[in-house]
Amino acid sequence: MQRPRVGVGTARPWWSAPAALAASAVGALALVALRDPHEPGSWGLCPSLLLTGWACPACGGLRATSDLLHGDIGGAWASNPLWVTLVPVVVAAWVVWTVRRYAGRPTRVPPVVGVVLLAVTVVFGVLRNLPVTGGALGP
Amino acid sequence: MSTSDPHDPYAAPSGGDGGAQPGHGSQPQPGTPEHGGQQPGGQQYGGAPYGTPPSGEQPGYGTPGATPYGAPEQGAPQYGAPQYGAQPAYGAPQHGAQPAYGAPQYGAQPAYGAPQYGQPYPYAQPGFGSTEKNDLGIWALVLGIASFVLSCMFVTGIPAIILGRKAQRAADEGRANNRGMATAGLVLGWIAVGLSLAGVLLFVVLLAVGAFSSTGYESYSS
Repeated sequence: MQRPRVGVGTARPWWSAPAALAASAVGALALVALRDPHEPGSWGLCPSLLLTGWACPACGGLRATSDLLHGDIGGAWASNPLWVTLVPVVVAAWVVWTVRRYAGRPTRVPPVVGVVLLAVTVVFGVLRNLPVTGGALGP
Repeated sequence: MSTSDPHDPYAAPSGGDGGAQPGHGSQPQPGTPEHGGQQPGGQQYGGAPYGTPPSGEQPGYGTPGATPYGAPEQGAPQYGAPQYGAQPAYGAPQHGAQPAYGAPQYGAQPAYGAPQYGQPYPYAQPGFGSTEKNDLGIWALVLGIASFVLSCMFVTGIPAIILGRKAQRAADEGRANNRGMATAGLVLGWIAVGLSLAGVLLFVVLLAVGAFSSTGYESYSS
């Protein structure tokens, strides 16, 4: 294929954006590893939880990440199952993005993906606050 | 894709497959073969009156990538010769491969389906109402909604504002037709950021006033 790499002709190489993103992700993971979110208040407070008393879809995300970093998948799942499911998706997305940039293929994501993600997250957010399903999905 | 409708003035001659296409630089007919690519086997666009932007937002949703040939969305005859000349630079794999418009150009389509739209192909010019940049508006709205429904506030609110502005501008230039959606995303983003700022301000004030002293880790110094 004679397709040029993304970034050819520009000042930045094709790997600069994926590398930057990966670096910041690693940095964030390091922060989570260093400061245990299981201790109450270690990462501040959650405004939406305080205000509404409901767990937003991200509730438990930090704890889940910390558990995953320590290999405790069951604990992570108990904290935030949606996030645990999304982590491999996010990683795969990064890989796909980098490969596309390398091959010069378009990196456009059809908005359907965003809409579906939004719908799934909203449903998850609602379900985890209901008494029936809240046990399994709750923070 | 060899059903050529004799009543269809814009249909590709004899379906246009079988490698009969002499390359896109030499279009005798106005914009013929690519209409078929708009949807699999879809020659109906050929019959549509050319003023209409026929696609609305559908092509954005995974139609096998015909759309980088930008033009067919508008279908206007003037998109015939000039643009197709530019395509061979991308290896115009159209010869004899009409049905699978998505595949030949972009190889395997990984998880996100057909990549199209937003390609800065120079010839994808609008007749007004092109849907080329519709993505921006949709994402702006999604992020705007998420900032409330998911309590993400400024985290998705700020991108919602940025994308909303870009989408508005794109719509004004005629490269998208969902200005309403863009405005909605923009407004939601601004509200989210505004609320976040108000919330932060309130939090700081309350903290200073000591309203949190009965919770958390302030030591009881009484």
